[in-house]
Amino acid sequence: MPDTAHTKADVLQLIASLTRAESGKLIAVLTRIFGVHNLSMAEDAVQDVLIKAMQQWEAKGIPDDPVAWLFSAARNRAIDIIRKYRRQQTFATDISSLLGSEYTAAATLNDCFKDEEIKDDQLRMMFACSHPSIPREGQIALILKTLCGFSIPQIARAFICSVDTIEKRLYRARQVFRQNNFSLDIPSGHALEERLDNVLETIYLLFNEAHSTSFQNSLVREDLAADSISLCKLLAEHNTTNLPRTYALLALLYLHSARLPGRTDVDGNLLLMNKQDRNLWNKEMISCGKAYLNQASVGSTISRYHLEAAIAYEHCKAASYEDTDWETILSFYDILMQLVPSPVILLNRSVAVKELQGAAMALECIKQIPGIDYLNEYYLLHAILGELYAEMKLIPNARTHYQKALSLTVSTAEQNLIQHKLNML
Amino acid sequence: MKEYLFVFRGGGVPEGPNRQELIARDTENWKNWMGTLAQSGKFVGGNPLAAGGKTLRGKAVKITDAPFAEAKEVLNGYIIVNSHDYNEAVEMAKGCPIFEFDGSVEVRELAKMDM
Repeated sequence: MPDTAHTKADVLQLIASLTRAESGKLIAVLTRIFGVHNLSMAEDAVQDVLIKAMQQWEAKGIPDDPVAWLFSAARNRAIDIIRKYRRQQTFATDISSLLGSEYTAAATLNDCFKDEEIKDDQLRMMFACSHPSIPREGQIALILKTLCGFSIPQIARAFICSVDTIEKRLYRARQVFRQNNFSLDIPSGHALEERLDNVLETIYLLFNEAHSTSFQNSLVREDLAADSISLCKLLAEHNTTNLPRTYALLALLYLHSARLPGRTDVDGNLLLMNKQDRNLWNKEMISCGKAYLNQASVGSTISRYHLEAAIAYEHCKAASYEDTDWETILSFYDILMQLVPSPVILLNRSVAVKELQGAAMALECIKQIPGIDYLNEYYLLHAILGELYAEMKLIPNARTHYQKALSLTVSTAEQNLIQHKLNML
Repeated sequence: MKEYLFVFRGGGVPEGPNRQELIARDTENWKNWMGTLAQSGKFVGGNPLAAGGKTLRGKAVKITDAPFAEAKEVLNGYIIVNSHDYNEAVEMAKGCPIFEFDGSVEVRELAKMDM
């Protein structure tokens, strides 16, 4: 062991960052070994390994390769658990009998701990966590907990709800795992497309959550955005899941992330796109996003991610707000609304309509959105309506909607923005 | 589908300069052979046996150290497989890596007692 000059604080900090970076992989491998129905067994084992690391490293110093230490400790823990429970438990269906025999247990485990297998296991876990029989909120909580290594209090803070709520969501999600012994696999053939759509949607939601301004903790937010990108990258790098729509989502994530640095001013106030300093946008990410968008442009199917990425790219491309090619953007929205006729998409489309045909026309569009009533409690609807009425000099209407918007958001940044607009009326 | 017991005798890796290498390859071969059985749902379970043992015998229950036979006759492991009949079971046993080191496999059908 190397020098023992590490303090307790060093060890704690290292364990915290390793938990975020590695525990998802460890849980994925152990779940692949123990079987989906034993998810909790895998999570507990990883917890044990992390506690053991903390104790040993505090006493004996941090090893040269902490990650390798964790993986070998996890392997040893897995052997102990298998030896203890092999008579009364079945593990993953395809290898359970091999783990049950001393002839084959160690070699089978070693195969599971190969790097390529671990990557596949993360994908398999992603598919399992996005399984259609798990409720949406549960899927996201489960991914954050098992694959991204967030703690329950962190998840609760992120979603501004109680620890209790998150625990309930996780409990229900794990119950699905326990009760349905579905195999941990990467689907292929025609099952792939539907299941992949589920996974992509989960990543998309994860990313949106990270960027919704209701997300108060900016550190967790950045981590979460980075995590959704790396999950999507795993899919793009695997030769079963690297469909054009996967690249399209990856492009979208990059093109959105690229513009984040310009989104607030030095005081942390939100800036609308026409006020943003485009020099702050991350050019490297924009060119990555563009490259992924090119990779997505093969085949004959077009997904919502293709169109949303193309729209995002139009914004990235424009040298200034005035240079934005709104006609192209509107044409993308026109296809998108056929594909995903959701009120939110139509609402976003109305912004492009405003730029091309004026506020009155945009207002007319919004009024005609089917199901617009569903958005009545949606902050952005009222922010946009306020904006349109203000432009049409219908000040009392503008004030009503801005005030409604103000009451609907919990984000101080958004509240400040709206308050500023109210003051300008 | 019936169950068959494979009893392994002998077949240890002999002493020699490249013994470690041979052991590693042998372990891999056993894993692959059983892996193939497991993949087709044939492998039920089984374990290697540690060296040594005791035998209890006679009305007076005399206890002796067990593996009395010469090395290649010593029982050192067993597995149970699923199989339709002896023919299929014997075909499975033919793939066992034990033959490389002069060991033997005894194949026995598990009996069902009349109830």
